[in-house]
Amino acid sequence: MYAYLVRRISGAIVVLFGISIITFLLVYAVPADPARMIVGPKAPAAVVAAVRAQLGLNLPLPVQYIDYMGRLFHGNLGTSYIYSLPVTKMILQRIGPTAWLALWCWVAELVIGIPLGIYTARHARHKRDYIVSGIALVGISLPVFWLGLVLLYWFGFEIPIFPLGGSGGIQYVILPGLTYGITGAAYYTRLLKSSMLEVMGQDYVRTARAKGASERRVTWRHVVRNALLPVVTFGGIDIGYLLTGVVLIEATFNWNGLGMLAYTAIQNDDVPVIMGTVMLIAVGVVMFTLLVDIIYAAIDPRIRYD
Amino acid sequence: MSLSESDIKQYQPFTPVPVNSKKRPFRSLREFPMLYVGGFLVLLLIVVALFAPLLAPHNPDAVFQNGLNANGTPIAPNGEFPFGTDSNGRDILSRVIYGSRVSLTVGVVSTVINLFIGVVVGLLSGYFGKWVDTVLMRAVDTILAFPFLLFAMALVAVLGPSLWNVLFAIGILGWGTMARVVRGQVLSLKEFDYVQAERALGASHARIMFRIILPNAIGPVIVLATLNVGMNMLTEAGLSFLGIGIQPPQASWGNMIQQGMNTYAFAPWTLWFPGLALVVAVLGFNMMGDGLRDLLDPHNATR
Repeated sequence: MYAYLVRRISGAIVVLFGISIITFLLVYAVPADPARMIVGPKAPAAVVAAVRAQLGLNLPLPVQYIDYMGRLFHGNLGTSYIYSLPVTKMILQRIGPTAWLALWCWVAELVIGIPLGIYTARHARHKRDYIVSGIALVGISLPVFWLGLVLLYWFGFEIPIFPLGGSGGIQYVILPGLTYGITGAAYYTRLLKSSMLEVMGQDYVRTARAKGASERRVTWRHVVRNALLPVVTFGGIDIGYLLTGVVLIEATFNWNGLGMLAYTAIQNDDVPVIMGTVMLIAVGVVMFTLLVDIIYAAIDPRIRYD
Repeated sequence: MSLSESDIKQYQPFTPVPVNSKKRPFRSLREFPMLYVGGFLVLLLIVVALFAPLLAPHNPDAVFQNGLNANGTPIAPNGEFPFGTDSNGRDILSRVIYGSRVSLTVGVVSTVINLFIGVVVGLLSGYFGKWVDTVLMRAVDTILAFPFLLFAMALVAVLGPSLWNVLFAIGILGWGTMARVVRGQVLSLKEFDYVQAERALGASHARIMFRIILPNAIGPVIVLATLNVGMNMLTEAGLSFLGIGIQPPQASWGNMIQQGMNTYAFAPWTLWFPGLALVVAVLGFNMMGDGLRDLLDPHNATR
């Protein structure tokens, strides 16, 4: 277990290092001059030069990278060009709303995806399986932003049950959650179905049947319980990816979270904010994946030896 | 939006199957409905994109004098404008038809870039193993850790929004899954006797990788590439929807949906048609990908 832990954690550290380099290069390799961005287009050249010197932009790139890493370890992601606020603070304010939204998106995926997976596996290769699998495929093919707008039109405008976008409590979360759930559920459905079909072919399932267990009992006590393991793994990794996917949902529903922060920053060329959010989410994905791998290895010893 | 772990799981190397002479490679519509329906939709998209000037009833960028109601709202679908008009008084049907060109170009060309990088990285990584594998796979982990859409947004913002930059950003960022799939294939294939025999005969590394291993690994690569086209079309539409992709007046389904966002309350057709076109196109590639998987890998025909 320790060897596995060391291997996985050192791998993750290398990836984090790679993330910092790519982020750094994008911040400093962009054509827009950060000093010019801060002082505005009309400032005299001497002022721009002074700001450049103050920011250390005249130093060689490797020196700048070391300075940047030093600040990073102190939790300093730089200062927004537009709002003159620390990026770390701006991001911390938005994590809460995004986590709340992502949680419901995730729950919706599971609530829609898992029952459909069980259903399609139980009716595999029959008409019902083909119909539900076909619907799941349509779900994957839907653009989240368009589905979000369609739901807003019907359930916010034509039949005004839910608010027309904005962030807040449970009534604001249902439509975006449903939108994400519909487009993401099919991944769970397919994974659970193939996992269940694999388990159904196992000897212990045949044994359970031979002992006279009812079909219901075989499905729930033997097949589903054993087939859920890969779904649990994917579910953990998916939380990391959700932080990415939530950008379009936030823009569609005007939700004031991390995605909106990055989106407005991109429109304003506010480079420190863009890179801060991109890096934070990348680090989040790495951490979640690592955590899931470690938990999984602790549950299932076979994993450690591959 | 990018392909996820669950997809990777489904791309375990295909096991070679003894050829059954009674079964021809292309079998009936009944046996592979997904492949045929998906293939039909993809073909339809290609035809529409190729013959857009012949099929479109109007110039997609033309602003019509009679394209808006007296109060300045878009006109509902009618004989002259079958899909109605948008808030600028342009014909939506013509714009949807021309939008297929953007979608198809970005989807296919960015997938070709994904394919090229992914195949080379996957081959090198799986074939040479050891430190080459470690370095390349950490690079893949890194690229997969980045929030794909956000990173593409940032890259396009830096490069400036245009068709070619969108295509380049999606192409250069979205190869991680492809590399992993190819690597997995190579790892199992390189132990096969015929590969070992080539090596014993003194074939060069390049020959073994590209002439011997790659052709045998092509099945899952084709399947993944097909699904990838649909995914990349969705990404392009997402970028254009956010205003960082294809810029108006050039019609893209994504920026048409963005425009429809402001008018859907009183003119819902401005939202329906570009979205439906996108869904049908992406669905076509997804169905074709699933169908190809069933066709190429009989062992994995679980759905």
